[in-house]
Amino acid sequence: MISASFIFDILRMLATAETPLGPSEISRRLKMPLSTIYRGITTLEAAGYAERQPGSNLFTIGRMGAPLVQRYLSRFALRDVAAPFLRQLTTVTGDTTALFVRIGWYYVRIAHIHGTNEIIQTRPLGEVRDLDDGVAGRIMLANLPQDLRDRYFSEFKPEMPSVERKRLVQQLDQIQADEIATEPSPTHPDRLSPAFAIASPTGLLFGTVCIEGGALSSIATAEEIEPLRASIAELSALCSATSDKFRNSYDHLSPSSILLPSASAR
Amino acid sequence: MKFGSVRSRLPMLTLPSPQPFCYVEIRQIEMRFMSNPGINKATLRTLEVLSSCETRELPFGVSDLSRTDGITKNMAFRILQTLAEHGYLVRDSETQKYDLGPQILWLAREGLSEDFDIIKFSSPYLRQLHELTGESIFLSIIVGRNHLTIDGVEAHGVRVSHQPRGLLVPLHASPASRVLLAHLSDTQIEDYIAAASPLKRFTPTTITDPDKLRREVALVREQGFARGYGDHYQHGNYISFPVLDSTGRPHAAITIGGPPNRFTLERIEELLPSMLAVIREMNTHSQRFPAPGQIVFR
Repeated sequence: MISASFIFDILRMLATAETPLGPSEISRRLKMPLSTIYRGITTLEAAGYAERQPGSNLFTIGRMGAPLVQRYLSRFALRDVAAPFLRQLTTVTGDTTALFVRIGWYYVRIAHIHGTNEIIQTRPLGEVRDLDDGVAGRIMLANLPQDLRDRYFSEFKPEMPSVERKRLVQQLDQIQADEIATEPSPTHPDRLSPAFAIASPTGLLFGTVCIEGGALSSIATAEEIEPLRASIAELSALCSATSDKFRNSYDHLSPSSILLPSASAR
Repeated sequence: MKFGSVRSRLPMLTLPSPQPFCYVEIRQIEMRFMSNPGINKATLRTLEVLSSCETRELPFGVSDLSRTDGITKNMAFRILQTLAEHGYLVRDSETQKYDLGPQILWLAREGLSEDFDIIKFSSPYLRQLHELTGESIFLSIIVGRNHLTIDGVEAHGVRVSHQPRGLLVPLHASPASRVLLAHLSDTQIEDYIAAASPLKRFTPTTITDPDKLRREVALVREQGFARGYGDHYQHGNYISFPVLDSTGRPHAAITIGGPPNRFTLERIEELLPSMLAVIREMNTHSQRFPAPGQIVFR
């Protein structure tokens, strides 16, 4: 009898593998008998979650997952309400504008509008990153209650060198004070990409918006920032009006109990 | 095994309602899988329930699964519990219903398809309308309490030009605004009037009386388009049409505008049937995608 738990271990291994895997390799990594692995992978293949490479006994993650991820992302009500604002910010700046939500100690890209500039940034929908990796996550981390922020470092990033941690904490305090996080633009290194928190006046964080281009000059002025901030303020007000629809669905879970496939270098 | 349990992984056989010939075909495919001794049937059933979440009404409970898949409540409970234990589903502690959980994100791989893009979708129709009328065409969406023009095709020579980048126009002024407003729900329209009152006047013909705006909404709904009254832009002639989803919510507005000596009211009347034909075709396709639904004006 194969337990579902074991099936999900195989599935996770296929999802994170850099190259297609054969039953022998999976058996070796999971320390399970080859015959059991073979039966597990045959079951996954029948359900569409594993895909055999043509003419070989090697498998990759199957196509069944993608529509489920799409459906999962569509369950975030924030996407609907934010979509016109993302479009507005992209129209004004010409840059890709993306929407993120926090899940545990990670942030996930749930929507984006591609920029119209000649050089733009694109990353896949559903991409997961650690909260300290990039401005969209850092502004979430900066807006977390102090106890949760402390737990992020103690439970999720205990290996982070103290000097680096101290520098990051200072940066988070600055982000919290400025209500904006910036980083060098991926498309124009001499300019800055900003991220803003979508939050209620009481500090309830719904998500973040990042404009992934050179929307701001390296010494960003109020004239550059304010129109962008005004758009986010209007979005925040709309979310706050019916905050139950947009609050984090996983607040009742311990963030450390959620393990996601982060693209951040660890 | 019931019909519904394997339908979702066989997209070419997915039909709006079950058909007898389809049932036989699916049963045959299913028997091929189930007769393979290498397959664990209980686990396969669990994975199939997970797959069905792509199209199933969410959230759902044990009774819903038992009823739709024709399995015992005990079996439905065990399947849902297994998926919840592994984080692929999450259970709402109040309603006891299940929804997709964050572990689904492990299943993504390169090439997740992009969302519906109104600009890409509309582009060929904007061009078609431009070729038909020879005038400038604009695409606008609702942003907050305003409309924003996000794309367009400009005519040559003397023409109505594109609005400044990022210009926001309140939803009671201009034909694009009024056609978008008219396709919101009555509650949303009242919320807008309450939030935007007193309605700002831009020109002498801007509608600032809420009752007059309600009458205008009724007229736009009846005729299916909005005419320009010089109520925001004063010097051109305009007509706006809605782009809707299957429930009648607005994706966007398409506006055709031209100089009054060329794009005359008579010319608009003459072109109306042809413009409506393009708009109807566009709406046939736009209905496949849901429009943004969370519009709150308070």
